[in-house]
Amino acid sequence: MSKKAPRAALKLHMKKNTNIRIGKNADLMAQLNLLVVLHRLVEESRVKAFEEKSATIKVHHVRAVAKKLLKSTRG
Amino acid sequence: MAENSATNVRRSMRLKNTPGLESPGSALRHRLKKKLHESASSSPLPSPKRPRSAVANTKPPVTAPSPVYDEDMTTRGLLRGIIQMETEASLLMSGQPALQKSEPNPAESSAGERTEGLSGVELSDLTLNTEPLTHVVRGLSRKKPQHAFSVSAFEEQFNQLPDNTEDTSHVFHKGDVSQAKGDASQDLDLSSGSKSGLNLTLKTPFVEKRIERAGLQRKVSNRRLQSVDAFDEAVQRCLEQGPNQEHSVFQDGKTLEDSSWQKFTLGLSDVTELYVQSKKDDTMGPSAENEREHEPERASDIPDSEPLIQEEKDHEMESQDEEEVVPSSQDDVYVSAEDDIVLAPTQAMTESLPKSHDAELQDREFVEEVEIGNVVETEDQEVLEIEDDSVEEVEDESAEEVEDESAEEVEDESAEEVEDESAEEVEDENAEEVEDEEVVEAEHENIDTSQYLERITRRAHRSEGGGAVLGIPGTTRVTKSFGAGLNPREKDLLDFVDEGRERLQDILDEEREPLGSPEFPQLHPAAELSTPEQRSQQHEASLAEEDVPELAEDNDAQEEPNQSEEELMDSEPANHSPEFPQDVEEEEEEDDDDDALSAELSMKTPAFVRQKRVFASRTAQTTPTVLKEVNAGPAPQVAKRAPRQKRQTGVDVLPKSYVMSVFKHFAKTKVASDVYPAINEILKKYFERLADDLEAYATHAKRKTIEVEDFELLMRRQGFVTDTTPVNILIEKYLPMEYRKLLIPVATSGNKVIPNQRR
Repeated sequence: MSKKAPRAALKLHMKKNTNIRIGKNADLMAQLNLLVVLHRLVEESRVKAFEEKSATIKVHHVRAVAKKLLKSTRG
Repeated sequence: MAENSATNVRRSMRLKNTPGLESPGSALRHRLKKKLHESASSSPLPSPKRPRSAVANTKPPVTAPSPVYDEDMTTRGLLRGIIQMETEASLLMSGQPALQKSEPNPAESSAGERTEGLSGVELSDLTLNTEPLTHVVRGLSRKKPQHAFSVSAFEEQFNQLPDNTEDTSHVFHKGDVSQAKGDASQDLDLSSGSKSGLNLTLKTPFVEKRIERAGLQRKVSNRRLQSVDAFDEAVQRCLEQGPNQEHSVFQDGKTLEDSSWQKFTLGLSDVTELYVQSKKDDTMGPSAENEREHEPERASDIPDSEPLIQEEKDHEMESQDEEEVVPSSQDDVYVSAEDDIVLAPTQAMTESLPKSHDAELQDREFVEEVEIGNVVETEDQEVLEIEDDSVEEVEDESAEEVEDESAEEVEDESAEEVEDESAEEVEDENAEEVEDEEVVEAEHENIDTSQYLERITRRAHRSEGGGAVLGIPGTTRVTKSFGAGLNPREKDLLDFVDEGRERLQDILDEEREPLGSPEFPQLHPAAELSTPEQRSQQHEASLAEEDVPELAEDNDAQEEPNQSEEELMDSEPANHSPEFPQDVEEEEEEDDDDDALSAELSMKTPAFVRQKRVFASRTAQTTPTVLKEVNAGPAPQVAKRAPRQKRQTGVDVLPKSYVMSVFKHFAKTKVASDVYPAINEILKKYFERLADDLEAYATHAKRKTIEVEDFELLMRRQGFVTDTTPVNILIEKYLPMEYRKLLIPVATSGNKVIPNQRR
């Protein structure tokens, strides 16, 4: 599903701490990156949820996966 | 072995005409060999060995069985045969039965009948030839005793063969079978083989692999099923038993409470509905009874919720019938102390001591319901009777629960006296008086019960205490409602009572925080303080009609803990006074101070519903509430920060709708909505890191703006983009069309490239 990516919000996030500027379509890339990361998060969470034989993804599933994910998507 | 062979031979001889072989043993061997080969060739799934072996075996049998036989006779051949047999055997249905069948069958088939069991054939061969093989081949040892079955089994299989062979032969036998069909025995073999093949084919290779474990597998599944069923049953039992037993469900019972609460509400809803429909509904009685019935089951589950709800209902419900029914039902069904306590305060006034029910708070619910029923049924004439009954019951229950039976009895007696007096007067006023008396008594009882409740709580019977407490105020209110024209008053009184209950509950139930209404805390101290006061007051007021000012005072006192009970008392006497409407109004007005009460007063259902909600919110301390709080948190913060910061950092994370939609879309399974805050946190951290990294990249490139290539580098480092997955692919994958266009240069007609590229 294609939703309108909140470009403004993303830009806000990017520029929070620094004064650095954002290129023209860079926020689109940020959007892309966000989607990819989110997708990975969801995948991992889903796997974890399946482990517990629950069809629903619950909070603890996500939390357990988050830390590992954050570490992996460093750069 | 010789013996075995001999026996086999004999059997084979019996079963079938011996070919023109020299010796029965050799003939047997030949047949077995043939079958072995044929089955091997016929079996569809067999390993490559089979086709080869089948081919190899089929050829020799066709041409010269003896050579084959000779080959088979060799150790290698025998082993091969064993393996083939075994595999086939495994292929066959379930291991053991098939094996059994196959085992005996081969023996028989050797005699001329086809047997699917190659193992049998092997066995015969093996037995004839080599002893060690028998050990190797499983089931060989078993086969002998099982030979008896072979015939029947074989026959059965034989009968089924024609059906199967046709089907399977085409599919499985790749010509080898067809070749092997030359002889009748071969046909049989084929049929059996096909059948086995059928079995084999029908069954995926899985079966082959698992044949040995088939039994285990099956057993496991069976066990699981049973366990599941048993578990369900056990669970149900536990649930059923749970409410009956006084578990510390109070704390644990979110689920229980919910369930019970739901039940309670259902019951209550029925009551309310009934009430709405008609004041005097006989249905009310039964419904109340039903409710009561539910109560015992749910007992101890929802101590607070129910009382509160009941209280509300009590206010709203005015049907004497219920009261009547309630007392009867109470007497009959609910002997629980809770019920009694609950009933007692309301009805204690009028009635003699209620039955001496076990002071178990389990029946709190019942009591509460009863009270509600009482409330619903509160109608002048019958009130007295009902009240008396209820009072008696309530008193009894309370007495039992609190262990101060004497005190209760005393109160009951007083109540009785009051009731008696009121009973004489059937008029509304009388009813009112009675109610007042009842209320007073109820208050007394409340006091006692509250005390008892306190003690109970000390005992760690929170649920009970709560129930008892609730019961008291409820009952009082109920009694109030008894008066015909006291509907509004009743509400007020009930409100008071409910408050009292609530307060008491709060005292008792630590968990029951005053989410619902500020009254609760007041109730607690009020209950404590008022009890002694109430007693005195009750005694005084029991027989005296108080004027409006009293009510007013009471109303004011509502908010004050001490006065809470007093109000009840005052309200009661006020009810007695003919100026009920005025009192009611005053009470209502004053009650308005109390959110719940005022609501109740003004509107029955809303108050009831409100309390319900309040109670529900209190009881259901689950994530939804948490979420609400969480969600509500940032909002107020935002509002507060508005003047300060234009940007609300607290809510900086991406919009929930967007995030959740993306999540759900990716997840393809249900996603709990409370994951959003967690995701928010994660994303926040991620964004921070992201920004830092990008900044570093840009700085490294000696640029001051973050560009697309920075992102590309980031993706690569994150591992999303590799040599095999270019960035553009990701772009196309995730981003919507319009964005894609911006990022990826697209060549259009006219030698244009979009977006415009100046390079």
